[in-house]
Amino acid sequence: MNLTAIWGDTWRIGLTVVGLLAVLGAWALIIPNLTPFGNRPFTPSQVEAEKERSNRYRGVQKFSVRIDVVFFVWLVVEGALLVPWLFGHYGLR
Amino acid sequence: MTDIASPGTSQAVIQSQAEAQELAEAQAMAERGDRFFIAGCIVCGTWLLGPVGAAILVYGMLVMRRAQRRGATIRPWAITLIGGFILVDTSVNFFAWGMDLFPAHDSVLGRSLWMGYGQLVDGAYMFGYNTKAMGGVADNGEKGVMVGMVLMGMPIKLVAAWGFLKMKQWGLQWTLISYWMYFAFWMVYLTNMMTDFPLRFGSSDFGVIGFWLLVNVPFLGPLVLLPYLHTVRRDLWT
Repeated sequence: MNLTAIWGDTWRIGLTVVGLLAVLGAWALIIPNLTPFGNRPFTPSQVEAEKERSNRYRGVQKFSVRIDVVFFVWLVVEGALLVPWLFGHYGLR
Repeated sequence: MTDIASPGTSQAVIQSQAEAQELAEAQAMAERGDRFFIAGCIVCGTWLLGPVGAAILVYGMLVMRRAQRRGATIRPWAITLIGGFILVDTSVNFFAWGMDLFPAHDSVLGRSLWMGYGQLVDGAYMFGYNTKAMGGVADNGEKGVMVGMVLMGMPIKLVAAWGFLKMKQWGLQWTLISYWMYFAFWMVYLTNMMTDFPLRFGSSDFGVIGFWLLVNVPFLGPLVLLPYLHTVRRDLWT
């Protein structure tokens, strides 16, 4: 790679990061100011009802969390290994 | 004024002050760990900086664990792990896919990443790359889904995941909405993949198995997380 190629890559990736951050920033201004299903504090009786409802589905939640941990580790390992492996195996184009 | 405090009482005051300071330090440590965890999840999902992100997120988790042992109050680990998974998954779809949508598709790193990925599991990224007006992947269906998700679906999900981890009510609500959106996207994406089967699966080195191992497992997130998000105690998010 020569200097021109490095400069070309730098501005393209830089512009991409700036563009993506601008999109993210725009949504970050909108989303926290919208609470679609209302934003009111729960009364003590509502808290009790929430606890009761949550306890009824304890098994579902345990299952969700266990599978989630597997997926999470999977993605982190994939994220760490994929690109070095891809570049090593198929090379740069 | 007369000092009525006995030596025992003043020792207790000093001790409680020391404990309060220790607790404040532990809490600050937990917050620092949380910042590392969130940043690590996002960086890990960029793919290009994946190894760095993985190290940062593991360090963040270790700091949070240490702070918890020192007495800091942190959110339940189940919520941390779920939020972390959402962040990594969303970051992959936002930053890595964004490299194909924005000008980085013309860079050596962007082109190598996506054409290598095409050769590995999805042939659409291998043939005719950077030959159409928008650049990047030439498959129309894939580009359409990409535009919708990079400009709208994924940034909403990323902001929502941050709010979810910060225990904000809007975070939980938008995580639910964005996961239903993700479910719809998954159906569109799979239909695209199936209708272009020879190009997308048939021409890549690892085809269907590679696609499931690398891409489609995380896309099962909505199936796993929607039941949790609908049944969890909503009053925990304030």
